[in-house]
Amino acid sequence: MQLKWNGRSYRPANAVKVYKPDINELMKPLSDKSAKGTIFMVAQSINPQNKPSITPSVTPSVTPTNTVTPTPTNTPTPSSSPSLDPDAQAFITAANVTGATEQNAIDVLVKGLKSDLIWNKLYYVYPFIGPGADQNKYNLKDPQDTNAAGRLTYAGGITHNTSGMTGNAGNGVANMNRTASQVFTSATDMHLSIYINSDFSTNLEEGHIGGDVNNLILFTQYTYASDVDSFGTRIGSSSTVKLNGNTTPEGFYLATKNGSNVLTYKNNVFYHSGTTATNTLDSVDNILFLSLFNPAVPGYTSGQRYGWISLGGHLTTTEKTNLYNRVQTYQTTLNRNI
Amino acid sequence: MKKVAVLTLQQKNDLYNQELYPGWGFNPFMDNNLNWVITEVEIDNCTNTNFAWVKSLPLIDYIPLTEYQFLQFLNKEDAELELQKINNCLSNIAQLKPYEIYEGSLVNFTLIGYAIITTEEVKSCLTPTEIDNILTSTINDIVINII
Repeated sequence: MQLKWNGRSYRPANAVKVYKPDINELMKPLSDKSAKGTIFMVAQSINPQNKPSITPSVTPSVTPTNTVTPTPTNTPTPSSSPSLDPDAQAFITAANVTGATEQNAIDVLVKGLKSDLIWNKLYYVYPFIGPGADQNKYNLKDPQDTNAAGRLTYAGGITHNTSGMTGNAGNGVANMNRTASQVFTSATDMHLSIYINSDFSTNLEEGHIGGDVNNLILFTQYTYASDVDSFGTRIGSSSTVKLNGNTTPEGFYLATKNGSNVLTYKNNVFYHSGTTATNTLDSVDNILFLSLFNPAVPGYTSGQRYGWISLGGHLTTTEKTNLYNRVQTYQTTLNRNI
Repeated sequence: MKKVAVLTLQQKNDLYNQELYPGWGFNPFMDNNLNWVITEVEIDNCTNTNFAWVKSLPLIDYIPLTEYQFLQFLNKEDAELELQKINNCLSNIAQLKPYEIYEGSLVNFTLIGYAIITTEEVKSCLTPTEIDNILTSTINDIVINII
């Protein structure tokens, strides 16, 4: 078809020349084909490119209700080394852990604790990765730089390095900024653990978790009057479970409480047991490391080095063994094991 | 031997509860001569420019406090009245605080009263009768706690 104007053929300015297929023409041999059937069409009608210039002023009132989200069926798997556990990665990022050995130690630790189903029984964990105060202040379970996350703040003379956090048996105290009632869910379902990897010859060698002296302390080598090298604890109770004769400071110390039953272990070996009444979890005094009091009082502070602290729920026999093995592996990887 | 730096009362008060580094506070305490001291570790890690002067303090060997000399009061109000007198005598630079004193061991505390630790500066403000009443105790006899 030809467009005509005043009896003359014309081609619209916005038209393109297209080929009108003719089945009979298509079936002809190439040598017999003719150039018949050419038409003009308005370009916008066959290949619309322009957007409408008028924007509708009425907002559609119908809200799509389709909630199905397409899920990719093929997830690419990195071909390089396995990725870090997300919780390990969060800690590594927050604490700025840069060494490959240290990153691997944290990753293996977290994955192991999760594999053993202990991770959720650990409420607050301090792996003291070092080398400085900034790295050692973070709680592995919630590595945020806030008091609510259990970030440690320090006072007095505390030394930090790649082997851990060391008190000065004088005025050093690390403050968890959390009370017992903020850490534990029940005074009948608790554990405390410390890994001490030093045997410094100070005149005061106790290791300490303190703060609430009436209901939450752990001492590893206390000597006074009839208490000689006593390892003991008050855990959710004003009563003490303790036994003399712990003559070496280094070791992995664990106290766990289930109901009113308290068990203590050193290096995964049973140490002592007792039954204690249960007190209300304290909501006033922050939990402390290295010191019984804040401010620290000479005579009630530790001069030893801590490589690990955890606070959490009661651990079964299997769980305490698994925890010991994971912590020992972690310390060995960092070449600071006992 | 651990090293510490001796502070004046004014310096002790200036440093108390102040940060030497973000999240890390000074913690003055007493050595065996009842000097207020801070440790070499605190000095080495101090990046707070307000307290750069601690780096010029001379260091001495740290001898742990093993014995207290103190005035004992049965109630807190009496201790605070006495402290008010002492602080006035020392031109309020000491800003001393009473201590709780506990008797017993780590695993068996009993609050037995309130104490004013009697340093040489404090003694200079006491009457002869008060000086006669100063008690001496080893750290294994009592526990003190700043309140």
